[in-house]
Amino acid sequence: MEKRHGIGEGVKYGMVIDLDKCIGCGACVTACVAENNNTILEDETNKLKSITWLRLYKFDNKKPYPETEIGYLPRPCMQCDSHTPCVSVCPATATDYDPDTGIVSQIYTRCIGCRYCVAACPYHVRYFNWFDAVWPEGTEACLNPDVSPRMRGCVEQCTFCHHRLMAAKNKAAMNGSREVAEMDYQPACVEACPTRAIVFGDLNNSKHRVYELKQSPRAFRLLERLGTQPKVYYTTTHEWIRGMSDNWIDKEKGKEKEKAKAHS
Amino acid sequence: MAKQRLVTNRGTGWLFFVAGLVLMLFVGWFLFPKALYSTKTQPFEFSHATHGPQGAAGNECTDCHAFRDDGSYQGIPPLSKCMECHEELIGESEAEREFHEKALEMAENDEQVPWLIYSRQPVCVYFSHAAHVKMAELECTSCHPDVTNQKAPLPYFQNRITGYSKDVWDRMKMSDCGDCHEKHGANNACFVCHK
Amino acid sequence: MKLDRRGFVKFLVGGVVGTMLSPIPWKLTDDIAIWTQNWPWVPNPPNGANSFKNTISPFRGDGIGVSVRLIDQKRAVTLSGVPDNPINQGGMSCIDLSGVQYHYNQAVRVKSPMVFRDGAFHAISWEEATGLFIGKLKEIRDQGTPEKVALVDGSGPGTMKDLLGRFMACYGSPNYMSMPNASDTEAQILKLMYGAGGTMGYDLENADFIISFGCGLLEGWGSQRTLLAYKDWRQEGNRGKTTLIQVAANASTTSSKADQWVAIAPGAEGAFALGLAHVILKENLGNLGALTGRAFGLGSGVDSQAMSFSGFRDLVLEEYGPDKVTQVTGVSPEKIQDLARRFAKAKSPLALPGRGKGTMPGGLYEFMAVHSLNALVGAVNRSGGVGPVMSPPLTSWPEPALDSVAEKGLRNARIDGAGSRYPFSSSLLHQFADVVAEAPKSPVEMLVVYKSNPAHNAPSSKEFNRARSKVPFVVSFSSFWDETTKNANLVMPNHSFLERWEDGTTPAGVPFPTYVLGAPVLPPLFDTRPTADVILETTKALGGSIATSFPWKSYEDLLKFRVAGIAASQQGVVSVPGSLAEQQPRGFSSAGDLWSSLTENGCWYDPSQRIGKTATGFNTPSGKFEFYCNGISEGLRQAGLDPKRLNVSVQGEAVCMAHFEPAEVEGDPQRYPLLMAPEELAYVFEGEVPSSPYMTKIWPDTLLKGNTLVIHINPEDAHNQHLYEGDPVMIESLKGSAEVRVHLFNGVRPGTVSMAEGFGHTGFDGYIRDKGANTRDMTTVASDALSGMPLWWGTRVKLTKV
Repeated sequence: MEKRHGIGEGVKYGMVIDLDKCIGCGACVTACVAENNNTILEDETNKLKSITWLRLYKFDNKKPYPETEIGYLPRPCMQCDSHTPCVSVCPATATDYDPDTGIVSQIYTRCIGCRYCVAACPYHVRYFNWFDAVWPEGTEACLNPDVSPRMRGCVEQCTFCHHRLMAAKNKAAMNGSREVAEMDYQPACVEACPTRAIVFGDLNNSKHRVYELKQSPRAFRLLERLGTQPKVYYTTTHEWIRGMSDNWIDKEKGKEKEKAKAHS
Repeated sequence: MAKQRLVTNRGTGWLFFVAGLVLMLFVGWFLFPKALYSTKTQPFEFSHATHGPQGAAGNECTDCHAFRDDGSYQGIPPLSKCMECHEELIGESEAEREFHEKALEMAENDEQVPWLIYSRQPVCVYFSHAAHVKMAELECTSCHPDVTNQKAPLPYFQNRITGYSKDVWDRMKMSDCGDCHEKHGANNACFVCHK
Repeated sequence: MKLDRRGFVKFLVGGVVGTMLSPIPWKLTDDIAIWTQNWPWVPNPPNGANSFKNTISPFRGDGIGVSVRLIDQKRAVTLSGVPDNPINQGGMSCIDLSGVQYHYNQAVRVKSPMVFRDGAFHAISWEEATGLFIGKLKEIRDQGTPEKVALVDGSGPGTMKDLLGRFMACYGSPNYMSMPNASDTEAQILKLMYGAGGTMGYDLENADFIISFGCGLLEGWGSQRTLLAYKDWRQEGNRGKTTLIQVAANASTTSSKADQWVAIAPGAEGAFALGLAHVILKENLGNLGALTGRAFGLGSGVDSQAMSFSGFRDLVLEEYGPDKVTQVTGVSPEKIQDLARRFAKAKSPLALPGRGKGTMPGGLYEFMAVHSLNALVGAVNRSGGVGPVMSPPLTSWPEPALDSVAEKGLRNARIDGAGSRYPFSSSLLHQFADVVAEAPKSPVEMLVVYKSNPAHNAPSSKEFNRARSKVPFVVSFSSFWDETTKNANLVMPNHSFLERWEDGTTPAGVPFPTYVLGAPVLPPLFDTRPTADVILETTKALGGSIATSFPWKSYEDLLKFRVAGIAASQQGVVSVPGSLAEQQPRGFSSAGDLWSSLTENGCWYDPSQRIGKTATGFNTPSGKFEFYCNGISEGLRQAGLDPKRLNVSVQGEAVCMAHFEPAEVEGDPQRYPLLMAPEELAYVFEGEVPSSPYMTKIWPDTLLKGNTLVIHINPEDAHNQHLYEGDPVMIESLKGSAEVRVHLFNGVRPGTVSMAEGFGHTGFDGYIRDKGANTRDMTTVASDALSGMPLWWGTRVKLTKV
C-alpha cells in the first residue's frame, strides 16, 4: 500500500466552484464532452445509460412562488483524497489514486466492467459503457487524440483532464523544469466557463488561487460527513444550497452555521 | 516374450520422451516465433547510415526526430521534412529516384509516407519523450536500437494475434516501464503512462 | 525399438514438457490477453502536431473569439475562447463550443448544391445551381417586377447583412427581411429618443444598481460580455457593490441569481417601469441635473408639428401611481416605492429592457418606458449607463447604382408593411408571412433564405410555412438540412464557419465599438461555396448597374475594402495576446498590419469610444433626448396614419411618449385558462442551427424525457386540474397543440405555464429531430401597437390530461 498524503502535503490538484457565479449555462459540460471524447447517445435523457463526466445538476429551493430559487451544481469527479471509494473496491486495480497529484485514474483496457466502483462512489461520478462508442456521423474526425476513446464494458470518470497535466509537464520539460505553472494546467471546463466560476489549481500551493478560496467560510464539499475528503470545493452564499450538499436535516442548520463561523 | 519386450523398452523408452521434448522445444523456440510474426518491409529503402551524423547528409538525430515547441515529440518526421532536401533529386541511386518520384506524388495528394513504426504504442498508452530525454537525460539508445550505421531498414515483424510490432510487445511491456520507474524512484501511478 | 503405447505416452509427455519449456503457452496467453484489448472498431484519433488558429463563432451573432485546435493543421479538434477578445475574454457558450461538431457532422451538412425535382432532391453542379438562381433572378427582373423577390437574413450585424441588403436594393426589391430581434426595437429607440444610429450599449460593468425588465441576462441576453459583467459583480470582494434586480414573471436563472427577484404579472414590465418613474418624479429623486437643457418633453412644450403637450412628468404623475401600477403588475406599492428609491439613490443606476435572449423584439412603448426611466436617473450617455455606440469606422459603402428597374421596384411598398403601415420598423417577418399566406396568389415569386431557419423559428412558424408553400421558388443558402432547406427548391450550401470568411460589428449591448473578423481555418469538406462569393458572382452575371455596384472580386476583397476604413481612422486596438491587460494597448501601424493582425487575432475594438467617454449629442428634431418623441408624430404624419385609428390604446400626446400598452393576448380565457410563456434557456439554442448533440448532455430531467418535452406549471394549478408530477398532458392553443409532460415547479407564476423554446425539430439528425414540441407552432403572435413588431411572450393555452 502506497503512502497516502492528506490534503496538506505535496501537490493536490483540486477545484473551487463558486455556485453564485455558476449560471448553469452548460459550457463546462460541453467543453468536457468535446475534450474527453465522451460518447453521445441519441437519447441522452436516459440518465442510466448516458455518460457525463461533468454533470450539471439543476435544483430549486422548493419554496412557494415567488420565493422560489433555482440553483445549479456542476459535478466533476470529486477526486476523493481519503478512502477513495472507487479505488478501495476495484478488484482489478483498474482505478488508482496518484499520490503525487491526488488524481484518481482509470485504465479502460484494464477494467473488467464489474461496476463495483460505480456502486461504491457516493457522488455518482462513475459511468459504465453499456454500448460501443458512438458519435454523430462524421464527428469522429474531431476526437481528441490525447484521450483514448473507451470501449463497451468499461467504466470511466472525470480525470481533471489529466492529459493536460501531461502536456503541461512536457512543456515545462522543454525548459528543463518539473514545475507546472498554475495557468499551464487547467481542465477544459475551467477554461470554458464564461463567468470563471470554476477555479483550479494545487490546493496545497499557497500561490494558487484555490488555496485561499478553499479556506473561505462559505466553502464546503459534497457529503462531507462521509470523510472521503473530496478535492472539489464549492462556495455559495445561499444557505439552502449549502444544506443540500450534506443532506442537512432541519435541526442542523444552526449548528453548521456556527461551525462555519468558527472556521472563519 | 512379453517380459523380454518390456526389458528392451525399459532401456530405450526415454528416447521417445527426448524426441517429444526436442521436437516441441524446436517448434516452440524456432518455428513458433517465425509463425507468430509476419514480416513487413518499409515502403522505402531508408538508410540511417546515409542520413545520420556519419553519413553523407550528416544530420543529427534530433534534426528529424525532433521535439515540437510544446514539448511533444514528433517521432518519425512528416513528409514535409523529407521534402526539405528531396524536393530535388539527390544522387543517382535507383532507390532515391523511386523515393523522389513517389514523394512528390504523395506531397501533391497531401499524403504521408506509410512508415511502419517499430515502437508504436497502443491507443491507451501515453509516453513522454520529453520526460525521458530532457528530464531523465536518457540516451535514445537506452530504448531504441542504435541505427547510426544501419544501411537498410530492419524488417518489421508484426504479431499475427495482437497486430503490434514485435519490438513493442517483446521489449516495451508495461512491466519493463514499471521496473525502470521503480528502480529510479519515478512515479509509477497509472496515469503517468496511460491515457 | 518400436513405438508402443508406453513409448507414445512418453513421446507426448516429452512434447508437453518441451512445450512448457518453450515460449508457446506463455507467449500465446500473453498475446491473447493483448488481443482482447484491441477494439478495432473504436476510433483511434490520429495524433500529430498541435496548432491553434483564431476565428469567430457565428452562431449567436455576438462575435466571440474562438481558438481552433488543429492536429497537423488539418483536423479541427476542439474550440476554446480567445482570452484577449474583449467580448468573451476566453469564456464560451455551449453552442459556440459545438462549432466543430457542426462542421464535421455528415448527417446534417448539405454536401453539394441540390435541386428539388420530381418529389426528391438531386445533387447538381455549382454551374447548374448558380445558372438556375441567376436565370430565375433575370427572368423576374426582365418582367419588371424585381420586388417579387424576397429575402430572409438571419445573420448578425456585419458585412454579410449589409451585402445582402445592398444586393436586394440594387436588384430592385424592398423585401429584405431579417429575423426579428430586440436590436430592431433598440434601433427604433435610438432613432426616436436618442437621434442616433449605431447600436445601443449598456455599460454593465460600471453600473452599480441594475434593474432588468425581464432580460435573460444569464440565459444569453446581449453578448457573452454580459456574463463577464456578472462575473465581476459576484467576484469575492465585490459582493454587495452591485445590485441586480430581476423583474420577471417566472423564476428563471437570472431571477434566482439576482440579488432580488420582483415577481410581476406577465407583460406588465412597461407599467412597472413607469411606476418606478412615478415615485422618482413624485419624490423628486431623479438625477435630472444630468439632463438639464438636454431633455425634451419631460415638462410641457410644443412639438415639431406645433402641437402643444404637457409632457412625460404629468403623464406619469397622473397615470402611474403605485396603486394603479400594483393592480397591473401585482407588486405591492411599498415594494415599488422602496425599489424606486434604492434605484434613484444608487451611484450608477441602469435599467435594461427586453425579454429572454433578445430574440423576441420588445414592445416599442415598453422599451421607451425603460429608456425614459434611465433618462430620469441620469443614466443616459454616462459611464455605467446606457447610450448609442458608434458603428466601427469601416469604409462606408459607395452609393449603389440603381437602374430604372431597381428604382421602380423599390418604390413598391414592402409586403410586410414596414416603413408604410408601420413607419418605425424596418422588417416584419410575421406580417410578411401573414400577407403571403392569406393572398390568393403569392406576391412573391422567389424567396431566398440565408443563415436562418424561419420554417422552424419564425415568430409564427406555421404562418411562415403556409406562406412558404405558396412561393413558387424557395432558395436556401444553408449549410445544414434544416426545416427551411428541406422544403426549398434550390439549395446552394454555404461553407461552414471554419471554411469561410466571417465578420461582425458591435454586438447587442457592448458599450464600445467592436469589429470581429475570422479567416478560413480549414479547406472545404464538401462541394460547398461561400454565399458571399455566390452573391458577388450573381451580381456580375446580372450585369448593368448591379454589377457596377459590386466591384469586388471576392468577399475577401470586400472585407479588405471595409477594414481599410478602420486603418484610415487610426483608432482603436487589436486583440493581440496580452492586450486586454495592458493600460495602453498597442494600435496598428498600417492597413496591411491591421489586416494581418485582425485575421490572426480576430477582434478590433475602440475602448476610447466607450459610453460616457465621448460627448455625444442627440440628433433628434429637438436636439435633445426626447421623452416626447417628435419622431413618432412626424413618422405618423408622413405615413398618413391617424394616431386615433392606430391600434394604440391611448390618444393625444401619450402616443408620442412612453406609456403602458395592456397586453392583448388572443383567445378566450374561459377556454384557454392558462398563459404559456416560452422560456429561453442558456443550454438550449435556436438559430441557424438547433442545440448540438453535445448539448443534449446538459439537459435536466425537467426539460426533456425521451422525446417528450416537459412543461412547468405551478403546483397550485396542477392541483386544480388534478395533475401530478410527470403526467402526460395535451397542451393546446388557438394555433396548435402538442403532447408534453408536466413538471410541478413553484417558480412558475400561478396561471402560467412555462415551455422551453428550441425543440420540435423535423430537420437535422436523430440527436435533435422529433424531440419535444416547437413553441413557435403554438404561439399566437401579437403585433406591437406602434411598431408592428411581433410579440409572443404569452399565449393562451389549456391542458388536458392524456
